[in-house]
This record gives sequence, structure tokens and C-alpha cells, in this order.
Amino acid sequence: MGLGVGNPPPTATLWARSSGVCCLFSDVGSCQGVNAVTSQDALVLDFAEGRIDRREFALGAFALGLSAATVASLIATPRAARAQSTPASSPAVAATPRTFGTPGGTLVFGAWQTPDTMDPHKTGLAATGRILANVFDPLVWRFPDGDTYYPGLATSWDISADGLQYTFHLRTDVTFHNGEPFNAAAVKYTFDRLNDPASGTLETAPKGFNRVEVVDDHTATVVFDTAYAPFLTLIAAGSWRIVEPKYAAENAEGMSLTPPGTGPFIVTEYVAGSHVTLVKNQAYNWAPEAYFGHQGPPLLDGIDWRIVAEAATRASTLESGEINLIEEIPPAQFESLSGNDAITIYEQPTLGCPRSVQLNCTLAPTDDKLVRQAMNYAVDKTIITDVIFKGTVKPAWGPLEKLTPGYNPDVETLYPFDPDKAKSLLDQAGWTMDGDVRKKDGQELSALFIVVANDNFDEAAQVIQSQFSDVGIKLELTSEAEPTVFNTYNGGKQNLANIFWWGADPESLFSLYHSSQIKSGFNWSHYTNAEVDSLLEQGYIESDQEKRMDLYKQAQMLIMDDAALLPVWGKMQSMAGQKSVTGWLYTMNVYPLHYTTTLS
Amino acid sequence: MSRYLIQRLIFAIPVLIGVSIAVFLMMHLIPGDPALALLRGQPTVTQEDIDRVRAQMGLDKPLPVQYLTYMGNVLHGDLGESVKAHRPVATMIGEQVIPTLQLTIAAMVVAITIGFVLGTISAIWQGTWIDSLATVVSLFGVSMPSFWLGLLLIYVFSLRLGWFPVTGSGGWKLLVLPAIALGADFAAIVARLVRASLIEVLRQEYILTARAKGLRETTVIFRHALRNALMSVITIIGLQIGTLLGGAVVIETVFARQGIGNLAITGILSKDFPLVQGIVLLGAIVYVVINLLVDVSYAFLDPRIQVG
Repeated sequence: MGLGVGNPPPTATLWARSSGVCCLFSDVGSCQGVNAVTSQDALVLDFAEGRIDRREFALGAFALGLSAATVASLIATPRAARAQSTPASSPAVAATPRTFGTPGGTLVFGAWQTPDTMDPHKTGLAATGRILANVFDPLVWRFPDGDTYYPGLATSWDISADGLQYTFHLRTDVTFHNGEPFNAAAVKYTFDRLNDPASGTLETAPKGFNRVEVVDDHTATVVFDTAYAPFLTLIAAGSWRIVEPKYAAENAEGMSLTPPGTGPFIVTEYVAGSHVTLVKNQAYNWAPEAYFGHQGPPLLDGIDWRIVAEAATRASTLESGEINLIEEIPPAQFESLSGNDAITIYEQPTLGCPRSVQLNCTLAPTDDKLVRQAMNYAVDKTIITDVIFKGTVKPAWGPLEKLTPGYNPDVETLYPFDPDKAKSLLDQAGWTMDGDVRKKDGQELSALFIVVANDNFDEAAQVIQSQFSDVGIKLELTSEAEPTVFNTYNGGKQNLANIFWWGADPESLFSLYHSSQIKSGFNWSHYTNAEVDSLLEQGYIESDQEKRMDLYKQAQMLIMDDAALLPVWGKMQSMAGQKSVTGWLYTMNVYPLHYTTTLS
Repeated sequence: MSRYLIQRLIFAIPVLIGVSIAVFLMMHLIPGDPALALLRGQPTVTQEDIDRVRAQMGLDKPLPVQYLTYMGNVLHGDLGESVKAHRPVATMIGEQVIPTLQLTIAAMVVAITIGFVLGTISAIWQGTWIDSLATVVSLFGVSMPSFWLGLLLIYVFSLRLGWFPVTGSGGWKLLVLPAIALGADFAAIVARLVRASLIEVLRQEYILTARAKGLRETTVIFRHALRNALMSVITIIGLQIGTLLGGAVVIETVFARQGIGNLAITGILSKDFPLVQGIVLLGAIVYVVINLLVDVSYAFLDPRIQVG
């Protein structure tokens, strides 16, 4: 999914999944390169003398059946070797006051995927969301580096004590790109459009939504039947973008190509598979200066958003100077680009749920909590992050990404890599070693992992298989393609399922671990815990954000104690650009905002 | 002649109907419910949602009814609406036809030019090291996967030498590298073919006569021999157009060009079935039409051919 990053929750992730990820790190090779290696000695020699790299070495070692621990010790080479390819820290951290480069010029951006449609309500694709983040402003801003809300199209907002009414006081000086005024009627039209099945939108109105009341021309109240606490955060993450009523009602074709927004850039042309042209909105004067440290029109004259699907071509055109900034750098390109002094690589951690393996709590042998816990202790995630992904990603320890609001850092110490602990838990569960595999009542300790095909998880699954085998768990690997694999997962034929999720609010946990989501949602752990259910339900209602985050923190610990999943690595969003290109910030769902980007 | 033409046209109709049925069934043969596939990703999918989408897509009607509705629309130029872009499929395909045609024609020009030059050189200096060198070059062209050649061309001529841009608006310059990458394979085939038929023709008695008359060798080759060697090459060109269109899928992706191939990839990756259906149907029609034209050209070139 190449890393397709889905829009935030309501419509999120599937498209993200299917499109984004397959390309991400698509160049990770197979193990064929090490077929010639016939013995451990030859392999170690090759590695020591630099003929093969760490990844090839580890894969070769696994092919030879070496244990994970052995491999880990063999490749414990100085990390300095990797330091040169370690990405620069992202410029996302906004320390106002900020300084900017020289304004002007057109940024040429190399995108990995073509947008589907420009209509913000009919897409779930990150490729589109990344563009629209620069075209549509939210009512309220929030950014990944803090929990402060900033005024956007609304100068202020009141939330009723019961959390059922959000009253937005709107700016009076905002116009859409087609010159029409932005007002309460536009807010009402937007939510009505999302709420009406006949309008054919993919995105839907927020959970529990009832109606929008136009109080006056510049005051709108969103009324809910049931409280929906993630509302503001998800607005900031680009959900429910406000569209221009007249244009949206009369010009369906235009909405899918060049919809008028209220943001710093105007879409003037969109040619599918080729490019999107964005130009500076001269009238733009409503950015939250407190965060951006800038007010008025954007610094760039425009953005030439070119679609360059092939990763090697993206890298070449960046190196030749034809393109200023590219996204989605696979490890293969990562190494060559990091050797180029004129280029900087950026790695931005993301929000939502990390790349994880959901452990089926209702199918033997993973229905035993001890077995699931043992599986968590058995895996050395650094083999996956450092060898397969060459250090471009970091291990994950819980059901949420570290950057997600409400993340509980306590999960990080729960399951260190400890094969001995894994073995003793399995002994305790009655599975005793018999030859290479553990057995209980004559039954082998064997689990089935159905891996999502082309989801960039195959090599990780092989590492997990090998490490499970070190503690006596037999893991059978099969693969099934989207979208049918999701039906299989919901049916529960698998012990292990791989998943990830994009979401700016911890409410993401509901879709993955609430018991109502087993048959048709994404609770592929088939996990039922009344306490967790209750915490996740309260999370939608609790209006005190601090108390609310506490609920999610408790839920994370319970989910991990039950070992409903095996977190593997945190998703990363990578970009590479010419050194002189700087200044972008990130939206709440880590889409780059080019409002303050400059070329030099 | 006209009777032959009419018969060929009539034969093409069942083929097209068969293709349309296959294309139509494509969506129904993939495992899983297309409506559910479309709804995936919504946090909660209710049976009402599924029913609504099924009704929108016409999936609630019997299969033959769905097919007839589909064909009725197709005959009116309506290929349906893309489920991702929410735009008419026919419009989306129409927008991409020109760039793909440009690429295909440019690739053919490259292929024919290089092919004829290499083939002629080989034939004239048959058996010498020049011939062997040309053979090696042709083998290289046939064996090299086009995506690899494409990346190589980008590396050398765009990244290292900076002669040609790869993306953006560069006019004809943007067409050079993709045309070479796409045409290389075809160029090699043309070269081998030209060589073989030229050698054959050069053995003919009228060439001997021409030489005996004291004509210059260039006149003999270009006026007398090459013209007659052309026949077999023309027919292969028709057959290769389909292959070139297929190759455009890969080349358009490597060179970040817009076009039918790129659109097809997008459609497949995003599971946009109406879009993929439309492109496959169009591709099949183009193939059938080209085959028809090739058959007709045979008859035109050789009056002895009749419908068997």
C-alpha cells in the first residue's frame, strides 16, 4: 500500500492498504540471491568479507535453518555501518518562531501513486489526501507534535457539556477558490452531502451525527445523537472537508477534477496518471499563524505534482534535478540516495496502528493466552527492522503507533525478546518439547499464518516463522490476496493475520479490538474482553481529553496483557529531497503541508 | 474481394461477442462480492449498505439481464462509471488514447528505422563481422526486458548525461527514451526479418539483371531489392501493434507517462472493475480490428488468397 495512507478513520484504510503498501519497500528482494551459499561457514565468510550485506546474510542464514538468536549474534556488527544511511530528523517539529527560505518558485513533487478522484468525499486514498491537505483547510487545526487545537476556518468553538453539540464560530473573510464565500451554509451542505446515501460519497458523516443547524451566517452547530469525542481531532486530520455547495451540487465532473477548496493552493488541472497542477492562492489569509509562524499566501508559487509510479524512476529524476522532492523511498533506493550529498532523506513516523500480527484468541492453539504471550517473547523484532528494512523502521510494542495521541509507553517493556521466557510459558501451558516441535496430548504446536499477499510482509513472516521454530512453535505460512483475505480473516480460519491501520485518534482501537468488529470489522484477533469493550465505548463519549486518553492507555495495557496481537514495526512515511528544499510541516495524519515549503 | 471482406467482417462479430461476455463475466468470476469489496474500509458495513451498493451497481438483477444492459450501454458508447474516479470510463479512456498512440507510433518509427538499417547492413555484408555484430545487437534487443532497458536509458541519458527529461512537459524530448525502450524488441525482429528477406531477394535473377545492366549498388539495393523485401515486414508490423500496446503498460509505468497502460494499472491496483472492463474490451476490439486489417491486406497484396 504503497504506502497509501488512508484518510483518517471514517473511511480510512482499506484503499490505503491496498494501494499504499504494496509499493512501499517493494524493492525488497527475495532470497534467491543467496541460493549459492551452501554452508554456514561460506555464508559467514561472505558476510565478513563484505560480499553480501546483512539482509542477505540473515536471509541466507534462515534458509540454512540457523536460529534467530544465532543470526542476531552473528550480525551484531557495529551500528556505525548503518549510521551513514540513518535519515535526518524530519522538519516536522515546529518550533515557532520559524525561519523560512526564499519565497517563490514551483516545487516539483514526485508522487508514487495517482489520485483516484479529487472529490474529497469520494476518496479514501492517501495519494489524494496528500494533495487535498494543501487545497482544503479544516475548521480546526491540530498537529502531530502536540495536543493544542488551533483556529482554522472556525475562529472558536464551543462544545456542549453533554458533548452532543459542537458550535463553530466561523471566519467571515474566507472565500472558496471559485470566489464563493465560505459560511455556515457550506458547513451544513458538506455534512448533509456526507449523510445522504444518494450523493454517493465514500466518506460518511461522523458516528452519531444528527444534523447541522445554521445559527446565523457565520455560526454552525453540529448536533450529535450520541457523543463523539474524536470529532475535532479527526477534523484536523482531514475528515469531512468543507466543500463549496453550489459547485458541488452543479458540477460533479469538476468536483472529481478541480474542486474549489479554501486552502493555500488551488488545483487548476488534474490529468490522471500524469500530474496535478497546484497554484498559490493569492487570497489565502487564514492560516493559524501561531503554529506556522507565517500568514498570507503560501511561500511557493505553485506545486507541479507529478505522478511517478516506478520507484527507481522517482529516485533517478530526483538525482538528475528534474524533481525537487519525492515520496516513498524503498530500501533499495534508500541506500543509493543516502550516498548522494545533494539529497536529504526524511523519515516521518505515522499515526494509527503499527504493522502487527493479530493473534486469533478463539482458535487453538492461539486461544491460549500463554501461547500468545510466548509468541510475543519469541520474536526479535530487530532482525526485521534492521536486517530486512535496513534500519529504516523501528520495532513497535503495542496496538498503537508511538505518535498517536493517547499512546501508552508502558507497553514497551511488556514483551522484550526473551526466548527462554517464551519456552517456559509454553511449558507452563502444557506444550512440551518433542524433537523440533512442542506437543501436547500427541498434538503438534502448530499455528496457521495467512499472510496478506503483496503486502510487504512476506519476509517478516519468514523471520517470525524461524523465530517461532526456535522455541518449538511450528508456523505454517500461506498467503491470500485482498480483498478476499479479509473475509477469511473475519471467518477466523487463521491463527495469525497481518494488519496495520492509519488513524489520527486512538479510537482506531475500536475497529481493531472491540468485540462488535469481529464478524465484519477488523478485529481479526477475534478478541473479546468486556473491560476493553467498555473502555473503547467510553472513549467515544468522554469529553475530558485527558481522562479520555487514560481510557485508551488502560485499554492498550489490557490488550497487550491478553496478547491479542504481536506488534512488529512502526509504519514510516519516507521522502527525499534536494537539500535546499525545506519548510514543510505535517497535518494531524502526517500528510505534508507545503504552505511554508521553499526551494532555496 | 468485397465478398471476402464481408465474410471476414461477419466472422469478427462472434469473436467480439465472446470477448464482451468474457469481459463482462470478469467482474462476476473474481471471488467475493464486488459490492462488499467496494465497501471494505468503512468502519461498519451493514446489510443495507451492501444492498444499496448492489442496487446501484445493478448486481441485484439476473446475470443475462445485467449483460444485456451492459451491452446496450456499450453500444451507445457508455462503458459505465469508474467506481473510484466517479467519471465516465469512456471519457477517461478517451483522454489517454492520444499519449499512448504517440508512444506506440514513435516506438514503431524507432523500430522500423533501426530495424531496416541493421537488417540492410547485415544483408549487404552477410557473413562478415559486421553481420555478426548486427546479430548480437538484435539479440540484445530481443532479450532485454523493456522495463530494464527503460531504467538503463533513464540512468544513462537522463541522470548521467542529462540529455532527456523523464517527467513533466518536455515535448518530443519526453518521447525519445520511452520510444526506444518500447521499440527495441520490435526493432530486433524487423532487423532479422529485413535481413532474411533481403538476402532472399538479392539472390533473385532480376537483381542479377539489374547489376548486369551496370546499375549502381545503392540503386540495386534501395530501388529494386529493398522494395520487394518490404512485403513480409509490412504484415509483421500489423501483428506487432498489439504487442506494442501491451508493452506500453510497462513503459508508461517506468517513464511515468500518462496513457492507456498507466490507466489500466491504476484500475487494476484500485480494483476499479468498470474501468478495467472498459480497457480490456477496447484492447480486444483493437486487436480484432487489426487482425482483420492484416487479413484484408494479405488479400489486397496477394489476390490468390480467398476465404477457405
